[in-house]
Parts: sequence; C-alpha cells; structure tokens
Amino acid sequence: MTERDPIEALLKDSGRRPGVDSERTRRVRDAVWREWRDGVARRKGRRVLWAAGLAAAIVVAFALGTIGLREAGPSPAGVRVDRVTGMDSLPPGTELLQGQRVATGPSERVALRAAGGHSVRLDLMTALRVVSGTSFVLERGAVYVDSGEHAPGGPGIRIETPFGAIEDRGTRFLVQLATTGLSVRVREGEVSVDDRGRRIAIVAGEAVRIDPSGEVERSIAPDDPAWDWVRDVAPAIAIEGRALGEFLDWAARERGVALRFESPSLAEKARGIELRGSIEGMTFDEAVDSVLATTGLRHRWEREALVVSAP
Amino acid sequence: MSAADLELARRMLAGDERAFTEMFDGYFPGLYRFALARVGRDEDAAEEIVQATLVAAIRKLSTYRGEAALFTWLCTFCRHEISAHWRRTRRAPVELAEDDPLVEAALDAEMAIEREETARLVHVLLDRLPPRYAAALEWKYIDGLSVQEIADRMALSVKAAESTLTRARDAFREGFAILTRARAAGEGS
Repeated sequence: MTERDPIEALLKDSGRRPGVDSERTRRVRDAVWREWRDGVARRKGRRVLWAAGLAAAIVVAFALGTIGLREAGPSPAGVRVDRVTGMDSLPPGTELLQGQRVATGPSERVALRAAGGHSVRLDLMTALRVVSGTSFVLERGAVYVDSGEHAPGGPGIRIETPFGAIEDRGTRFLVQLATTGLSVRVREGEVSVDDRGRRIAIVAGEAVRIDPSGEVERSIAPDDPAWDWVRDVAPAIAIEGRALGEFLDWAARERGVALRFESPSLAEKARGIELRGSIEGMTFDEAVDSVLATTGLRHRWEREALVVSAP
Repeated sequence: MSAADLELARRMLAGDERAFTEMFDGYFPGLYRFALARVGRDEDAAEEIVQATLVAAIRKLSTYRGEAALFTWLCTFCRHEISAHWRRTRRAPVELAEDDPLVEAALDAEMAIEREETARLVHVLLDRLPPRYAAALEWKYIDGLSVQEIADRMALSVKAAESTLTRARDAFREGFAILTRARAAGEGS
C-alpha cells in the first residue's frame, strides 16, 4: 500500500479555501483603492507644495502660482463607451471619468473609444480602470486594442498590468491577464512591454507570456479562438453613403485577414458601390451577410482572407 | 525581514497601480477569512472590518518596515478593528484556538481536533504563504492539476512550475513545523 504524501493528505482533506463574494470584493476594493489613490495624490501634492514653499523664499510670485495646485475632483478622461453587449448599466456614449473602473460580467463585453480614437475592447469578466484618455490599468481579464488609422509615433495606448505595462505603437494587440501571468499577442504593428524597467518588444505575429518572476516565453501567435471575441463587441461603422470597398476593408481588418477579390474588375466594382442604411445593433457576421446580400456579391471566409466573388 | 513585502509597500507608496492590485488580490481574501472567523461568520461585519483594516493600513503604510510579513502586519490592524467591532456591539468576542499561544499548535495530528477546525487552520496557513505558493498547492493537491497544467496557469515553464511547487511545499512544511514546535513548547512550559 502506498503511503499518502502528508501535505497532499492535509490539503485534500481540508479542501479549497472558501472564496469571497465578488460583490463584496468589488465594494471593498473600490473603497480601499480610493483611499490609496487619495493618499498617493496627497503625498505628491505635499512634495509639490514643499518645493513651491522653498521657491517662495526667493520668488513670491512663484509661490502664489502654487495655489492652483489644489486637487480637483475626477474629471472626464476623454474616453467614451462605444458599444456594449449584454450590459444595461453603461449605455453607449457614456463619458468615463479619470479613475473610473469598468467591469464586465460573465455575459458582458464593452468597447471604449479612447481619447486618441483607439478602440479598446473588454472581454467577459474583465476589469479595467481608466487612468487617462490613453492610459488604463487592466485588473483582470482580457483587453484588445486597435489603434485603427492612428499614426505610429503619436500618443499610443498604455495598458498597465501587475506584470508589466504594455504600450502600443500603431497596432492591434490582445492582452490577457491571469493572477499568475500575462499574455500579449500582436496582430499588427509592434508593442513594447515595460516589465520592471526591462523593455520587451513584440512584433506582429508574436505572442509573449510573462510570469510573476519575470520569465518570458516567446512564441508565434496562434491563430486561435482567443481573438474571436473582439468581433462580438466591434463598434459598428456608419455605412450610409460609404463605398462597399471601405466596408469590406473594415470587415477584413476586424477579422484579422486580408481582403481578396476574385478579379480586378470586381475590386473596381466594389469601390463604386455606395451603401445605404445602417448595421447598428447587428452582430459582426449579421452585418457582413446583410450588406453583401444587398450588393449581389458573394463572399466567403478563408483562413487568411475574406474572398469576394461574383454571383 | 520581508524584502519582497517591503518592496511591494514601497511601490504602493510611489503610486504603482500594479502594486495595489498585487496587494489587494493577494491579501484581501485571506484577511476576509481571518476576520470572518472572528466575528461569528457575520459576512457584513467581516466586510466592514476588512475595509476599515485596509484603509487604516494604507494610511500607515509608510510606517511598515518589513520586520514582519505584510499579511501579519495587516492582521495586526485587523485584530484592532475586530476588537472595536466587539466593543461597538457590546458582545463577547469569538475566541479562537490559534489566538491562544498555548494552543497555537492545534494542527498537531495527535490532538483531537475537529475535522472542520483542522481544515480552517490549514486554510489559515495557506493564507500566510505567498499567494502563488498557496495557489500552486491548491491546484496540485486539491484540484489535481498536473505540473504542466500548473505551468500553463502560472505562465511558467514546467521546470519553473516544479521549482515553485517545491518551494511552496517547503514553506507549507515549515509553517506546519512551527505550529507543532510552538505547541510542544507550550506543553513543556
């Protein structure tokens, strides 16, 4: 008879530690976070005022200028809600405040429009805090960033996580946070991860996992279902008056594939077709199917392309 | 001296959001269970106490010197809030075996401890371990995950996961031994 490992026996007999209700956790976390944030702001304010006081001994006018350093309440971050699925409490158009926390439940997703025009999308069971118009803290879950036509070199998006801060450089990328590690996948462009002073560059097609000890595993980003959810909450584009070609470019980009026409003349035709109506409220697949159905063209999804063909 | 905890406190004082998340996610559940056991399983009271504990601790964070583990330091605040709770409610506090130094070694298998109490004390011990050690032990021995699966969850290589598990077992064994020795010392005195 095999003797049981005493540690295994003790743990197995004792069972898992009881968890804490998520709503209680959220309430306490919010209250403690506010206290912590206020404390940090007060300390920084004291440092600023101390420096100002020293300068006042030399130039009185400078000290008067510090009166304006009083803390203000939360101000709009320049981030608004673009689209939600499965959630009523945060309607599209809502302006978010600095410090505001957005949390999604098991059937909710949210797309935000950041100050620079980037699309920032939250998956199910995700919590994201807005620091500024372009800076966020990912507390749990997964977030996808699409910088769209945003020029590389402009103000990018910064996502802070317990395992490092990710900064985009004109790109599309996915960040998944677990309590025990961070995963970053880049679909287009390049991002950098600042992990305690060490910078890790990740280019299109790569995936990187970082564990709490800082160990990095680099691999080819798999084309797997991990990307699929980002389409579910993709903000719909206004199609009224837009060329079919533009719509197809958008659809292919959202899916992360190339757009291919079966003939050059078909591409020319698609550029000339002007769309009418709206795809508001439709899922991504419904929108593509509906729009293509009105144009008389056919389409199919291949592994790496959206292929448009004549009937 | 806990250098890692001291560094965590320093980062929090500097306003590092990641440090706040690390502290809260790592210690809130254990602190809540610590309070819950001491307020007669009153969940609302435990929530109120832990919130007050963490707020008070954050206000005093600059005084933390790392002499004790951060969780131990937080428990000091929590005990104070629990005492205040019992004063407010004018009721007798819940007395727990592990709060009495003479019976602190109640984990000893030779003692006739109720099964539930043993489990609770194992949970207390897990709460005292670094959070990733406790998670690794639970995944391995309670959930029955393979080392490969644990490595995946922790975003580690298999070798690194094995190493984490070994350190976690050592830390658990050491914690258990401390409790046992404390009991023996209590009996001998």
